[in-house]
Amino acid sequence: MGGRGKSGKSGKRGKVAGPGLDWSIRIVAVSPGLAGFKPDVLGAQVGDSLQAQQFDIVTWGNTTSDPHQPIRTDNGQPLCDPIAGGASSRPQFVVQGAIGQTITYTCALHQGEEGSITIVPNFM
Amino acid sequence: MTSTGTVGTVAATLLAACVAILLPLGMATLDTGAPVHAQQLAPSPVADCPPTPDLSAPLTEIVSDGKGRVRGTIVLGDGRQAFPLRNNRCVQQLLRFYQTTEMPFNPTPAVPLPAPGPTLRARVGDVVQLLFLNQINVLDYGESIDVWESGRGDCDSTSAGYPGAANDTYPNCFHGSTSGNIHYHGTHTNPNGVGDNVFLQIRPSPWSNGKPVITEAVARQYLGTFFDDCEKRLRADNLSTWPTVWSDLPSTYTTWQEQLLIADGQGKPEPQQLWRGNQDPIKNGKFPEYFIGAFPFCFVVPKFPGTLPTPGARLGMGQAPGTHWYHAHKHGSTAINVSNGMSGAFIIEGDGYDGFFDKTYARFRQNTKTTWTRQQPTLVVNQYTATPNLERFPGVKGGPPPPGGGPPPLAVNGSLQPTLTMYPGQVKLLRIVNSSTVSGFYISQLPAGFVWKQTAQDGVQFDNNNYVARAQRPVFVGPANRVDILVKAPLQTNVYPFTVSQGTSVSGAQSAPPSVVLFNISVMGTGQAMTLVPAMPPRPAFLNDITPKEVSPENARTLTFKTAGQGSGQSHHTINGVQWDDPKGGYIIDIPQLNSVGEWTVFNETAGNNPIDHPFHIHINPFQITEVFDPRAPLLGKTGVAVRDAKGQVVPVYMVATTQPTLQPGQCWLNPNDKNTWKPCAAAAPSAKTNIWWDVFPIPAGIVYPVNPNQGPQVTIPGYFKFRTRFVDYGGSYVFHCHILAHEDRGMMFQVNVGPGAIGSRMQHR
Repeated sequence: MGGRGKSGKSGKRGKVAGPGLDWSIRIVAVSPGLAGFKPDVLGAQVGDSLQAQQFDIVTWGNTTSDPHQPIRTDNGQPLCDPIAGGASSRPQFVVQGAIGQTITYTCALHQGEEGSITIVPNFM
Repeated sequence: MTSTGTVGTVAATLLAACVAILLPLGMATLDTGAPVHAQQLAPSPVADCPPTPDLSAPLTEIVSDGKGRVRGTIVLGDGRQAFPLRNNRCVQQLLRFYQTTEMPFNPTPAVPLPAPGPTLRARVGDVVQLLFLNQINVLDYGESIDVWESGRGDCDSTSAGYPGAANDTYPNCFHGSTSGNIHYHGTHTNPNGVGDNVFLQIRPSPWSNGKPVITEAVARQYLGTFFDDCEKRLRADNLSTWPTVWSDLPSTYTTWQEQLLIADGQGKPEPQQLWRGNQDPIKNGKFPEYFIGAFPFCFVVPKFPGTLPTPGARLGMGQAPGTHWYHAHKHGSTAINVSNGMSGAFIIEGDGYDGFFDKTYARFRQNTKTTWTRQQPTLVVNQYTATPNLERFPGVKGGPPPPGGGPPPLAVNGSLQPTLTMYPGQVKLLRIVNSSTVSGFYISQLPAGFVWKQTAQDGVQFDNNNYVARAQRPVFVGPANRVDILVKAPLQTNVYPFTVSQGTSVSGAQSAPPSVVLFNISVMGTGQAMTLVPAMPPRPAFLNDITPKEVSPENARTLTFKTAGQGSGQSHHTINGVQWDDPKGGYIIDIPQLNSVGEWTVFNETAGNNPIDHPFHIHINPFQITEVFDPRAPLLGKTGVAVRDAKGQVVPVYMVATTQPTLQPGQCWLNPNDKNTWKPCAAAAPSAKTNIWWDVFPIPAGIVYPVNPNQGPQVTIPGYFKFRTRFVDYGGSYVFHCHILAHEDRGMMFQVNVGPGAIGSRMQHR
């Protein structure tokens, strides 16, 4: 079943948000030599915090010519491998953490480029 | 096409493509005026769903011109859509889908609902000529190009541990979801070359300056007169599989594609270069698999007896007119692509079916400019989902946490619980396509007052025997099944729910009370009272039953589908113990003799607590079922509804016990210690005088006895069915597989090589 709908029980992880969703964050040039993170959601601006549920998948699409790599600001763990110019991220980042938590990240390769993901309750 | 103009444009486009690869989307654009590290929340992606159109509203169509051809362009694009959740709430998601509009979209202030791909509407005998463009913007999806190209290896990977934690290995894993192709499901046609060829892998166009480099105008320039040439050949010979080799394609197109593929492979190791992947097939006279941006599909849906140049030759079958469909079929991404919305209806009209209804109901048309059947609703059911959950929760024993409380809901034409309007006493023909990747649904009955009869299964009309036998009989519409039903509305105005049971097994759905509202029927207004047709016309002669005398014993095959580790988060899907492209082999079935008939037996040893009837689907030729054994089947009453005992428990057909149990009428004893009892209960056998044609059939799940392993050694009693099919007219390589598409992506697929020319063929992976 590819992991879909196998059980009606909530398991030990507690109540989980709604259906698993996918999100894209664009890495866009904001000034020469500086890029920003823009959630690909209608009306979002560069630097806005993406709203995502637990276990949603987030990827980054790099529209610049430079490589970028988002890493967590709290522990330095990379959220994905370095993303070449014009490429998208790998591996796909699965959002894990407590509801209400904000996962902040910066670019490991460029100072001053920051973004975040806010874990929200079930969108339902 | 003039070669001079083309060569110049080839160079220009190649340059543009290279530039696009090296200097991708939007690089030159600065997104200024916004803070770089503000931490305010992005707008919520959730909102009320947009208004839902009535199901009677026509879908976008690509229609036969009435002169023997269907011509059009299908664009594989992507964009934000209002992904239906529940309770009329939608969440915007970037989805991939088929459409007729080229990318990029003009931005709209509102996020639209999803919609099925354009309905293809051909007539039997037409030559279908579709330019396919893959214009997906790869930056919208992480690692969605087949990553083998990038030198990184294989499957999609996630920070949660996929694929390792799921024990998935390439190529039987989720991967390559922006490569595209189209399977024309239900067609009896050429499975090779530019026909119903699911081995094709058409990569997205490069993008430059926010637009795809490969556009319809560019592609048609390179293809020149290809479609005219193809149509001429296929009209002259329905059995032609032209173009069969690379050099049959226009040299302008092959030169262009070669340059694009070479440019794509620049700097990559040899095994990852797509052009290298094409070279061996081209050298060996096989049709290559890899293309970039644009591909011309051209195939005939043959009219029996057809046009043939060879004296004495004749088609063994023809194309059945009816409700078929099309969908994404790139191995590794069928589940995510179809559940994103890459599917649509493919209606093939014929005089004996549509013509019959059109004549009968002509005076009830609401618009005299088109036929009655063209005014009937097509309902494409889908379970919209994003990335498969296994990538989020690999290796989680007992299954992942429930996404939203169960399987994805069933949407109809992109909406949850939309409305179909009918006037009191009106008759409509509902063409229902279940394009869901996981669930089937059981239509057990319609609300009181409705009269209904099924008229076709999987795009093949019923004859009168079946029409009568299945009047108001319940029907399970498994993943990929289609049913046509005539429905007559009651005289009482009201809103009536069309309610079904959703499930992954026939017996499970039959045993559950209908609880899912698929759509509502609003009965209102006035109109002339109508009646259901009293009888169906005969089927075309080529759809007569396959007789035992036709069957070639050497074509007998036995297949066993099995999901091991069900619910472990590491489930493993096999056929005869092997997976697609298993290095040990065993995943190819050879049928050396074209124009021969086979009888196959298909077992299902999947026997977990959550039954899964793997929906068996074979391409190109439909089949007829001669025997079904479902050890979990409930006893059905005269109306097809499960019989319940005094305690409300469903009464099974099979009493499973090691000693003779007490049996009710209609029941049989299933003895785990005696395989002679593992067969259909004669009392429950169907009584139709003629056989129904299918192209998908759910293989009944097995059972385990005793259920509790502490009560003794467990025995698995598999479910099975037997079918007969004609391997006729079109040789070549095609596939059969489970139509729970995540299972197919993860290995539950075999190749069939039919005819001497196909033996030894195999798909490759780069």
